[in-house]
Amino acid sequence: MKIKMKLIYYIVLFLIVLSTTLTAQTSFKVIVNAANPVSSLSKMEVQRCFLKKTTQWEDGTQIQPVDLKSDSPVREQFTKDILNKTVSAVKSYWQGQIFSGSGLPPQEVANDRAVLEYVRNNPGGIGYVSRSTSVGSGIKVLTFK
Amino acid sequence: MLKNLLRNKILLLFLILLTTSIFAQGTLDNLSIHGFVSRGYLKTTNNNYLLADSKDGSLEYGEATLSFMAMPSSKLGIGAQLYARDFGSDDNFFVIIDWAYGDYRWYDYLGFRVGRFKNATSLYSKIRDIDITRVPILLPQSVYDESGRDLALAIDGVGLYGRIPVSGLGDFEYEASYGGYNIFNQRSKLFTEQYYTISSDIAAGMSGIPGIISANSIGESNAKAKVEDVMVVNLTWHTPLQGFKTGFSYNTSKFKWAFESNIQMLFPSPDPTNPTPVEVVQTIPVLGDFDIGTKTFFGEWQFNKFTLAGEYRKYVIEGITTMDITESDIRIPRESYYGMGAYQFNSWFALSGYYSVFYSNSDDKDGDLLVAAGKPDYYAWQKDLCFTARFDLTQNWIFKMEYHAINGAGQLSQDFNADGFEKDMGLFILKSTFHF
Repeated sequence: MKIKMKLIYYIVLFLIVLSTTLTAQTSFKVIVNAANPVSSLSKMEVQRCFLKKTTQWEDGTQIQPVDLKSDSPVREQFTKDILNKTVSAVKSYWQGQIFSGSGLPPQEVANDRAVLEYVRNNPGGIGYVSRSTSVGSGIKVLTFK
Repeated sequence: MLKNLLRNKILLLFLILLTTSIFAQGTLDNLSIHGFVSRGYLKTTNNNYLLADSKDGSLEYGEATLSFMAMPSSKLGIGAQLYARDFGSDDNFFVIIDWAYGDYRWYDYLGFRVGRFKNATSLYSKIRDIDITRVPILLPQSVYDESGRDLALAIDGVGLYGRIPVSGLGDFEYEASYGGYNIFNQRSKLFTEQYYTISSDIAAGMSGIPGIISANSIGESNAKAKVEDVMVVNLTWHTPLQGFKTGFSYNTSKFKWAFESNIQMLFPSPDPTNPTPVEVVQTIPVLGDFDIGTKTFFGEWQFNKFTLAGEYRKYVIEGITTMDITESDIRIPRESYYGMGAYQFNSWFALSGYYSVFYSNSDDKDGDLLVAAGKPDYYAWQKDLCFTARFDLTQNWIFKMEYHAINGAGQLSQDFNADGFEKDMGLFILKSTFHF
């Protein structure tokens, strides 16, 4: 019995470690408005922002996430690494939120340029773009905790 | 129809709020409109199930929804959803206000809702009618029994909710609500099945009275049902293991019904020259007053393309049924559980399977009491093995195929199967949904 409990403990520990270390190599970067005092977030915190579980930054500003279109390879990678789901599963999640009256999904835009523009124009904006995209002024790239 | 809708105070409240918010902003930009429409085909073997004529196959299985949501401010959300479905002889696309409420999220850890809103009585209770959000068409019937749907759709009342992150332990999410259920369909299968059973029992009892040749139930009239004092508490732990959540839901309510059972009795003729029996129809008032308590434990793990889920439920209904001047105490403890798995192969194809178990009396899982009462033991349970294939044909168009191998008759309707139940049956469903 003791050995069994130990085994379960190590399996759970392994899964937790596995699930929190997948962000080491990412093909995207997470960005916020340059005026946002936040400069680093954990994977869980980014996840909460994009699933609208957390709706306010620490200073009370509304968090305004923005997504790329569902066929974007960058979105696919972000969804897999940060939300731990497929894009289909995330769409299903939002359909459940919509049709149960619980919430609306983030705005979707066509490309990295539109993401940058959205985040630049919204003080509470948070988005993600391809790692190779140059972000320019008015945007801050977040690091992962 | 419009007159009926406008009579509804909740819709009126919603319209006032919506109009006010649109005028306040001078824009419709924040108004989000979504909907879906579906049509299905359902066929069973051996027993009729869900629909009265399911053995013959039926296309009377579809639904339509239109939802409106607006965010007049960053913390305030309002919305409403119209919903209609065709489900055999039930509903026939009668339009209901599925939900309509105002939601003020003061902080992430404390929000308020007022109006008609969905209940968190189990893992998928808020989205039980929204099959585009999952792979299976029918959720496991042991927990999401279609015949009990009218008691679990939405609550008219007030609610609190929130989410509290705890460092290193994940997030704790809670919901608590209080109010009453609005039962849209007073002739729903949930009630008519009970009315039928009680009326049959009354008629059988009268048949045994000396001097009565026979007694038969000829239907019910003036049926009314309501559910009051509904209290729902739900606590969900989003664990540090990514995608894994587990929780507990507890809800209680008071369920009351009243109807008149019409019994046709035949008496021997008092006239020796005319032997034709004398027919008398007696109307017997029946009242029911019950307390319902439900405890549900649930867990779900979503990790990339996998979803695993399970729920365990204990359900007790107890109270008194009054038939004319006689009373009978009723206590029915029920137990149900299921395990489900789904895998998303790619963006257009997914498979799922579940095994669902229901016991109509958890004190008699093997059906010994039923056997003693002269009924088959398999009336005590229903075990359902289900497989579903989902095809996302386009971004907005879904097609599903589903098969159920069912053992036992614990959730079958006597009304649909007057000659009794077969032990094993199959259920096959096709369904196509367009959504936007």
